[in-house]
Amino acid sequence: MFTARGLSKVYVVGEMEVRALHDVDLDIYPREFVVLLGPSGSGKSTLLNILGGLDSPTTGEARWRDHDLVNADEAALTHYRREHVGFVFQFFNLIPSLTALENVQLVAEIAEKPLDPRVALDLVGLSDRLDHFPSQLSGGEQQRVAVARAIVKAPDVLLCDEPTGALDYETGKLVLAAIARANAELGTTTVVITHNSAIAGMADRVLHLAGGSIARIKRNAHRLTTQEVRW
Amino acid sequence: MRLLDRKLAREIIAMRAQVLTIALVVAAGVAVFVAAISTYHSLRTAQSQFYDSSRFPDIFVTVKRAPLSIVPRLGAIPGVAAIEPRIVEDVIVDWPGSRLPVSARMISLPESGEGLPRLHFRRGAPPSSGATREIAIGEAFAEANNVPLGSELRAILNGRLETFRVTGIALSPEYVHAVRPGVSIPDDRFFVVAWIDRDAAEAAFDMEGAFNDAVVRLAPGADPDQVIEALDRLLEPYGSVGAIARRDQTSHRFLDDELNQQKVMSVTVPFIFFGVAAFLLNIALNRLVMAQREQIATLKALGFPSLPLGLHYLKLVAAIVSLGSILGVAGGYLFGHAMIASYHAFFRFPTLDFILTGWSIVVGVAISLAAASVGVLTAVRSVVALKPAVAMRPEAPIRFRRSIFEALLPGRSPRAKMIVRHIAGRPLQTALTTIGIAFAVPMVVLGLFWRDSVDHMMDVQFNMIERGNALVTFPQPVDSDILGDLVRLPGVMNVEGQRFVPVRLRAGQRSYLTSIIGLPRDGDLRVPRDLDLRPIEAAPDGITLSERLAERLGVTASDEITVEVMEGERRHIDVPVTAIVEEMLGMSSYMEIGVLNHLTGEGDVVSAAALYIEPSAIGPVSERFKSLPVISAATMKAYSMAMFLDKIAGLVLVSAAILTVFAIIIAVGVVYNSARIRYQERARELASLRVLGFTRAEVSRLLFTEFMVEIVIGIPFGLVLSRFVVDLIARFHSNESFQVPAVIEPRTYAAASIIVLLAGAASTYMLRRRVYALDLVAVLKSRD
Repeated sequence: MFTARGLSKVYVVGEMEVRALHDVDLDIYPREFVVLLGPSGSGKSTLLNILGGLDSPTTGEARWRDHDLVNADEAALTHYRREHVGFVFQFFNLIPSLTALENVQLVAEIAEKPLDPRVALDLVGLSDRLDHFPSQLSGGEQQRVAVARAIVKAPDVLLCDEPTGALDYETGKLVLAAIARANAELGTTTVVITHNSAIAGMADRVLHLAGGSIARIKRNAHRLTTQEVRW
Repeated sequence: MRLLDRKLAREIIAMRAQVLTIALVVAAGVAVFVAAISTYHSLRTAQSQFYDSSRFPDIFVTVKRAPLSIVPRLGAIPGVAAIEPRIVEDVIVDWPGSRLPVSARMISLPESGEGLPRLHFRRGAPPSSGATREIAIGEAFAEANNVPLGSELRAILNGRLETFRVTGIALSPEYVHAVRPGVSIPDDRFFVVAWIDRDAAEAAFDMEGAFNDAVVRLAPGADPDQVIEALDRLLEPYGSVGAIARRDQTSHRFLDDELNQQKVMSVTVPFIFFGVAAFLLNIALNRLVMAQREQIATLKALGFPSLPLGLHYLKLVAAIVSLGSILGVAGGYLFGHAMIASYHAFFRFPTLDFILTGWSIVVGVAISLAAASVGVLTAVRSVVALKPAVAMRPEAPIRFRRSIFEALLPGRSPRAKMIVRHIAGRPLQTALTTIGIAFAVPMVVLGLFWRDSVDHMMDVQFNMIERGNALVTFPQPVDSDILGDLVRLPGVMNVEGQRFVPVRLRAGQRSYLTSIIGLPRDGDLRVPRDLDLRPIEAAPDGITLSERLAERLGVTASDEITVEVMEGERRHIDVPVTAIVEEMLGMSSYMEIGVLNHLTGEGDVVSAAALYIEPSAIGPVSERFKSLPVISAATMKAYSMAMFLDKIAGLVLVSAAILTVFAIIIAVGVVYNSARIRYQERARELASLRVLGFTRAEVSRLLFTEFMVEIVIGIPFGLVLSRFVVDLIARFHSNESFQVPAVIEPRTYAAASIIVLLAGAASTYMLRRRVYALDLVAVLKSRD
């Protein structure tokens, strides 16, 4: 599980200081599905980056299990991402020179106990598109490949930054279904950043961020299925 | 436009490594061009100034002995402006510190002191008129042996030991490159040119009222051939060996050959360098601008007209080319200086200064500017031609496909496939990078192959053809019994006689004055070789010509030529050319010594002897030579080769080292810039991989394996290309006195490959920093 205490992040841009996070305390539990909601500049990306070992806070502490994410060096953070974290990007970031299957294999290669890449692609419903290059896939299909790529290493944590941001409604729902399935079937702790409050219904907990702080936490008594989500 | 300029300045700072490497490529091209042209002009200027100020003669003739009374008739030949009869004798000098006999060429100076050619005195003055114990000597010998003014020089004149006081150290245009006749390796320590007063010469050589040598200056517009013909006719009764024009005068020919070589080099090598530099400049800038496609489109969408945009990028060109040109001219200046400095050992001019040739700078900079501008403008035009809306979107991603080369992969790793598909999927970029690398290889080879070439030349000339380790020459032909005396010297293992006979070889309209070398049959110490370096036996009934001489005469094997003997009974005889042989130095011709002696009707005589001396006995035997009056000169391969190699090394290594440095710059320029652009194109992908958990090392390896593959593909092409370039350069650089063998040893291929690989490694090392500093956060948000 994640534990963060007193997390603050200040960016210095020229002569200005921008407070991205301010004194955030947070716990995320195993198998939990968390949605981070908030407008641009609310600090949700910064928080996700710190959880993903991509950025470090100015002050405060952040741990995942026994991994100190604040004082770790570059190699330790790389190791952490490699072993435990799966990422899904807003703009997919697939390797254009590799087919769907190969994109997934690429990550499976560096994982300790990966799933079979074909199984991962089957989980996201792309068994029939294995040999297509990204340029031959629709945006939604590309993002589902990205989800398969993220879950193939059977990560403990799945971090998704606006996974539906670049997609239309229908394909966005397919991608969400894939993420929800990974959470449900593999037990992956899942954190999703979104602007889209409709997605919040799928989460166990919804963290509303504003001005760099957690403004409010909402626990859903009943999680919506992907079919029930509408926007 | 002020803001655009500020943008430009910031971009230049941001892209400083790229800007610098591209500027260095420009600098390398400009430097070689400027240095080569300026070196050539500096040498030419030194030559023409010296020739003019000293009134260098146009025609040279040697006779046995002619009366001074004939001089007015010679002067009356139409076209003759001035004639100077002289007494020229080769004598032996007793020089105490020397390990070998020192020979001197003594030349009489006219009473007026104003000889033809006029000497240039470095120090001191010519011998006073009528002074029989004064002498002026050439600077080369004075320097090689540290001879101060006022020293004593003892020479054996007509069997008598005479002592002279050195009154002057001088230079003569006839001996800008001083070589003792008949010797292929010049050695300033053992050969001195000396000038004495005419009266002293007359007395010493029993030449009262006579001369044995004359030099002629032609009137403007006179035809040298007609004057030569007239001189030959008038002087034949006096034992003329034939007048020669300037172009066949030893020093002039060597100098002129070298200058022509330099002239060729000033065109060919820079042309190749420049071609490559311009090509790279074009590509590098084209890619650099293409990488700014979105910026250009945005500016255009904001309303900037195309023309100022084009100008804006031309300013980038101007900045890079200016930086490159400044560095290039500075580099060219230093390179040229070093070249000129290494020529000082070869050529004795009153002044040999490096002069930077103005137009070479202008032309060099203009070519760079043009190449760079074309590269930039084609890129800008292709962007401007697009609709802004289209141009502002990133370029359509490449549609990757499986490549047939994947079958060659050992495993099925996606990483290996990425590499193969990136190389195969973008054939144009791959080809340009590979071509750039392939071009870098011959640049390095061009710098390094001279060593192989000189080694090969030395090996062929001094191990395979001239196999003895010493050569002694006699003042005039002597009975071959001398060979028996020589072989009895302790340490002498083998002796063979050689005969040099001055002849005119004639084939149709073409003729050439030379000496035939007479060799014994089945000789071991001088072994002419055919073009495949197999030994050739001197055919008893024919003549063997070096390839260059055969070319000059326009004959091939089995053609017949006329040999006109220029001494003794002056017989003419037609002989078949029995073989064409490979010679690295000079233009030799060979006959069997018995046949040659029969031609001259002088019986069993020799002019020189080649010896093989046991190496440990070389010292004592040289000492012994000094006390044998019959020997006028001796050459020891062991002594002279080192000296010669030193001189050659000075010249060859300076340019080789500098060309190599420039080649490395070009190699780094190619590799770094293509790597840099490739990195830029792939930064997002690489950062994504880093986020996904790939280590820095894994990501670097992915990127750099791609370059390494391109480098490894480029190198073999480069090696093949090197073969062509070296063949071309060797052909251009060969001349009558010096043949450049187009030899590239495996070590040179290996060195060139390693240097290019290292340039690649250095470039990747420079880029590793960037891979390490990839912004992982930005990649999550950025769209392609």
